[in-house]
Amino acid sequence: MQPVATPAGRPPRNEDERALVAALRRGDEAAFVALVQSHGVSLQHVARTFVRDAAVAEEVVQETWLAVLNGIDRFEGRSSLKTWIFQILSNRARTRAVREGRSAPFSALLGDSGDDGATVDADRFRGEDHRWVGHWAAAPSDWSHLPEQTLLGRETLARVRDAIATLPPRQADVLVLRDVDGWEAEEVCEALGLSTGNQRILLHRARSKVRAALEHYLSEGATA
Amino acid sequence: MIAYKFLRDGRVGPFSGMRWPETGEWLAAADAGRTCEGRVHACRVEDLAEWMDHELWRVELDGDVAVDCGKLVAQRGRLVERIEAWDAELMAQFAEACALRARDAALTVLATGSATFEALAACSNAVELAAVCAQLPDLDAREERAAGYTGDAARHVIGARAAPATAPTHAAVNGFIVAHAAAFAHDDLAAVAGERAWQADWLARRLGL
Amino acid sequence: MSTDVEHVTCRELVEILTDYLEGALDPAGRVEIERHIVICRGCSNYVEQMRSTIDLLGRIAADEPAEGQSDRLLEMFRQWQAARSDGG
Repeated sequence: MQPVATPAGRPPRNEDERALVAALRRGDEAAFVALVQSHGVSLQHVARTFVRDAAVAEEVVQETWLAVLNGIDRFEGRSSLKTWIFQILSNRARTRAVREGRSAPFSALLGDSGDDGATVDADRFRGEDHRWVGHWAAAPSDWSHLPEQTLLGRETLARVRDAIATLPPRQADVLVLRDVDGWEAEEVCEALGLSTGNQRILLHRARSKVRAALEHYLSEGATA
Repeated sequence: MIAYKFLRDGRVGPFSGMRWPETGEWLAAADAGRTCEGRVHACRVEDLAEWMDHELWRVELDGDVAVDCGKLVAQRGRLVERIEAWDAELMAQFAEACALRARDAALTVLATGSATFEALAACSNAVELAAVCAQLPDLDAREERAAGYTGDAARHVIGARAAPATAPTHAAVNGFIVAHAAAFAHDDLAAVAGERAWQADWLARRLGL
Repeated sequence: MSTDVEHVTCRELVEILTDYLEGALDPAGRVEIERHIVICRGCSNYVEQMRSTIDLLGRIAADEPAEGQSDRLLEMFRQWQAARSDGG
């Protein structure tokens, strides 16, 4: 298991990547192990955004690695190895999700079309008639006043995971790779085939939803 | 050149979250984490009202210094001395001075001689203003708005005194509120600059800048 | 209203916050956001809530149970490797 401080899958320099591919083609087990350690966690996370079931996600990841090995001779290096691996994963995960009849929540089926664009309810802000139109009517509270064991506790993390599970898949992909796995924006754009702007919009919507879910959870049982 | 800088408690940059080194030690923008375009930021006297925070420091800037978006940007800076006069009490006094000016702006909107006009004119502090504004009779839309700004500003003064740790925000927002109130009362954006100039003058005098 | 003293409201800030955190705003935009945060505890809290949210997301990976897949993956690799060398 990688330390959290090390972002998964920093792109190796081109020569490192060529050497890795060559080693894989030679059947070098250490090379395969290194590759799995680099990307395995992220692959699992992304698979989970397509198929809710953890066991099914593991199978999808397993199939992805096999497809990577079977296709390694044909990998031309036009994209990075990581991008290629994640494209294989996305294809397999999508196929599997359809086959599984996708037990994902309704919101996930909507893709991004379920978004109304506003990330905070309009009624949280003053309306047109007010002298402070557009300013907070019900302002967010200061979480630094919460006890640390509440904010960083297992229950709160569970709520974060729940919130991710309700996200449309493309939002979840970006959020997981960026904020859970620590990928750079450019890496996510390349792996998922997104423009910088689209990646940022997806990230924005995803983060906003998770924040809102956390706010709801933390204010429910909060004592003054 | 000499300039001014607001920091959070413990010499911490409000947006970079980075702690400034000890007095006298130069900070180069490259070390400064997430600064705007890799520059050190500071205030002229005329910028102070918009950047208020817990600590006010006299700073020295080095290298090319430019004015950008209402502040100074430089390649290097160092803290020279803490301006101790900037404390929670002075923040509250600034907030109160702004609230009284918001009242003055409201008086130009309210019907001269009306009960509300007389009640607000008679106030000499924020507590009195807040009390009057909490019990307003029906007013027309313009009067209500003008009185609303006054009441908002008065409540921020009370908030600053009730919770001194929050005083910088209350002080800063009252500078903003009175600028808004004056522009509204005179229906003239130029009033904003007038209020900000008055605020800069008040700060310069009270802080000995 | 003609007296548009401030350029960004709270409702606007929450929509461009990600742009700000990603460094995608131009300097003037950044300054508008920061100038607003100075006067607005609600938005200051919102920004900190967003930072906490991002921090919590980063802690999920650490909280996940260790992969049970490694043995199966190694087995799979060795079978692939064996078949490959057999095939020439």
